[in-house]
Amino acid sequence: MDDIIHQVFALGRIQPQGVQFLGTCFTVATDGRLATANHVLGNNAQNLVIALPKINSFNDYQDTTNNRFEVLPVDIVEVDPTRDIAILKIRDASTKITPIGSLDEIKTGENLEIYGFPHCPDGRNVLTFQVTTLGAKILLESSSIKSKHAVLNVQARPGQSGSMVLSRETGRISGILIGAYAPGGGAILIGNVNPSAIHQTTHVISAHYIRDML
Amino acid sequence: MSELVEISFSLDETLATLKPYQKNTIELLIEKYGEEGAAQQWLAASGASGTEKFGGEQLDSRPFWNSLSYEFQLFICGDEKYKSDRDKLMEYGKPTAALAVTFISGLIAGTLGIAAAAITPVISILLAIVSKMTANAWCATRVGKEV
Repeated sequence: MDDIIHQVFALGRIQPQGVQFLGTCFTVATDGRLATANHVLGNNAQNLVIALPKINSFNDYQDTTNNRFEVLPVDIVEVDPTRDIAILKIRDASTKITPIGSLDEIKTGENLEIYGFPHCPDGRNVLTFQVTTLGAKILLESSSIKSKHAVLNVQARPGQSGSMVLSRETGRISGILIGAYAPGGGAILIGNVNPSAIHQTTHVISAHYIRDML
Repeated sequence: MSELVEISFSLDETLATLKPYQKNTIELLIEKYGEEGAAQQWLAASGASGTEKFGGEQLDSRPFWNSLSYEFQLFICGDEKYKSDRDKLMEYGKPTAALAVTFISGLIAGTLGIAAAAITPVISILLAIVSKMTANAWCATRVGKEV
């Protein structure tokens, strides 16, 4: 499990006041390529960085008062806005990876692991592990194009978009976390939160779409 | 105004320059929305509908189609802003479709501060649309279309 620490990163943008975290990304190729949810990039390719890990073990205490961390610049190299996936690349780096699988390999009811940075847009830089169950396989549509997704029985929060969703059973990445079901029709935000998106399920897109982008 | 860019590529030629994941999606979008409609759908897409996104920045809602097609117009229709870039592209005669798509995508992406990969399918379509007429005729249809 600790090998994941060097495969999942908080993604941010350098701003005048420091790094503003946007979401999560994870390695998908040994040449430094990473995958994330495209929407976290906000149609802006400038000043993107990943924060390097501050721990070596998930059992280490992550000091939330320590705001110092090293960063590496990343560039966007592939974009699929219909499936909400982007591929980034660390300049001149080699990376460890976990093989890419697919939601096709996972049966409803099986356990999946999530690795990401919940609440990182609020400045909380904490790599967090969650374990959950695949609740349903669904097709979701974007611009009339349907893609394979899953519903996970867990609540996710801002910053977790782009998280790695891993099957310990197959040893492969099954999906990318992209958000949560929210009925359309114009949400009313309360304290910048959409109440209709606060529930115990999360949407994930199948990882096999990443393979097509590498 | 300096020289217009006279190019002639079929849609098949320009789409062939895309990676398969983009080409397959764009072809489906063209089938449903037509060429210009497909380009607009690609730029406006933000993943599955009915999903609250958990990223730190939501997609910029600027009218990307308008700003992108305007920059493309400036390039193709001979605006001074892109004169040296046009000269560079045409330096060795008529460029290949792959070179034209890559060059113009990178140029306009840099101007707009976005990733080139995000707009290569759109530039592919726009180059094919211009090629159906002359650059001169296409530019005449764009008069007054400013951001």
